[in-house]
Amino acid sequence: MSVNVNPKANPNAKANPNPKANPKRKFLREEKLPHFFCSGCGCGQVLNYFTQALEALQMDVEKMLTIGGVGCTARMPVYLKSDTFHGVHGRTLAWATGVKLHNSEIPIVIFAGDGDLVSIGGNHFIHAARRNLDVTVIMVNNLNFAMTGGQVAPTTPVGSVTMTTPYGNDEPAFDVAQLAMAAGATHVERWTTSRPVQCEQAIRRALQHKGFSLIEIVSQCPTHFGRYALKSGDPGKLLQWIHQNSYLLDQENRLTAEEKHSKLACGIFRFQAGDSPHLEKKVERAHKQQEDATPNTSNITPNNTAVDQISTLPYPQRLTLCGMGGQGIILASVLLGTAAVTLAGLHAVQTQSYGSEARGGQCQAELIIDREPILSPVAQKKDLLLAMFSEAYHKYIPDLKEDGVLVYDTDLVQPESRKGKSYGVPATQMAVGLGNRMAANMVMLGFLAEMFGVISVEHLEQVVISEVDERFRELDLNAVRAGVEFAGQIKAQERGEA
Amino acid sequence: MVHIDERLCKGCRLCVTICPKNVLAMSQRVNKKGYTVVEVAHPEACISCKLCEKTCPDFAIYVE
Repeated sequence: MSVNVNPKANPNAKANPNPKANPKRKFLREEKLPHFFCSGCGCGQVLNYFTQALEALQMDVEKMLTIGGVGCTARMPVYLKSDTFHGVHGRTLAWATGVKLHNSEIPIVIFAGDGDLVSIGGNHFIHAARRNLDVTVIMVNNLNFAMTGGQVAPTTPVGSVTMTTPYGNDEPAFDVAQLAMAAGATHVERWTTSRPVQCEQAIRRALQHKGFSLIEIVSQCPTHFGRYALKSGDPGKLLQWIHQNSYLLDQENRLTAEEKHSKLACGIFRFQAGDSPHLEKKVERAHKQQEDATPNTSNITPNNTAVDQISTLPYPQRLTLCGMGGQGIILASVLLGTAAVTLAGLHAVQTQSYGSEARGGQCQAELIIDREPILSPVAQKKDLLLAMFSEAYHKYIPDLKEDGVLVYDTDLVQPESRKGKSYGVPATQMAVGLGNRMAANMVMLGFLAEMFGVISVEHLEQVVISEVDERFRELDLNAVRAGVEFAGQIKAQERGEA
Repeated sequence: MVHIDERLCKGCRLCVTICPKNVLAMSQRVNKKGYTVVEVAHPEACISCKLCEKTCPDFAIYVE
């Protein structure tokens, strides 16, 4: 193929002043053109093939989501009029999984380079293929890390000179199509940019396929791979090299091993039409199980005014419960949160952390209760700290607001004087009196419910009955009542003082 | 008829290489971005196969 330079080119010839625009530009953000790809880059060609497929299928690009990570290829979504994610290197499929779990109807197309998809994002790739996530992955394989300057990539052919392999690449290249098949992808094809019609048809099949589609398109990089490895920056020559170094799967049996040596096979590796995606099925099943398991909440509709009257703490209530491993700190927070969500109709978020010791180490649970959906599981400053262990008290007291409420176990914590209110509850002593020191957490819960109305006493008792092991139910209920009674005494005292 | 949007052309010559009838050729014109652009040298030879339009990375070609 010789480049055809027009011998009769007239230096004074004028360009067509009003050329008709390619109609496929309707899929692109016109104001972003010309795009940033180098002259002759395969990414531009793949973008062209993609718009051809969109046109053929009459798809609405504005209802699609396209995702790009980092790299040349990852820039492609920027030029499409679709919704777009563009960001962290290699995490495209993680985002796609999240979006699909939220709404499985959105068609998702991922544009990723070989470095993005199988090097940095390698694990996301194999697991998305294994789960048969319903996305279309278009991998533009330019055989190197191009955006960063032409470093060796997992897909660089053996022997190729790149920026970081000046004496030739020693490592065998990844066969990404085989990798996807081994991982369980249901639609795998590989083509080259030198085959425009096949590429377009492959993308069309992928967009229609329900399940994980990988379309690998081997592409030229005139700026880096071409110049380093093939000693040519002419896109036409590179295209020719790619074409000569690939063969069609249909010809596989007719070619000798020598002819196929170090060449890439092109064609449809696997196409299981009509196979429904596993992840979607799983999500459906989970939703159904959740619906079946959720008790009918129509008769316990949240009554926010009633809640307001109970609670003396403003919403959102940010609580830290801390103590020693084995005191039931985590259980206490879980019970509070469960009651708030299932019985009071509030929103709650609980996080927990504890040392590696099963017993005796510090442990803490954070709980946020609010009437609105909670957007962050972390609160910087807490409204209430429940401390049941001296070391934990010292560790978490700085997180309590100055005027926040401290509740502590009088036998185990000696608090310093502070501005906000502090309440000492001899919870462990009371629990020992009831027969088991392990019930101290329940005494504290009873106190919190009666004193501050974090949740109502009634809800607390209900949740203890439903969540606590039968063996301890009686003891725990007694402990809760003891805590409630103690809070009643404190309240009476406060009223007396007032 | 082949339309070439010279504003978008980056002079990569892929269309020149792929055209089976040698319709396209490099011109001596340079666009605003500094690329030597392609031009339609032999419009009469065009068979409207649209390979140039399909292969152009820059959406610069439209075959009517």
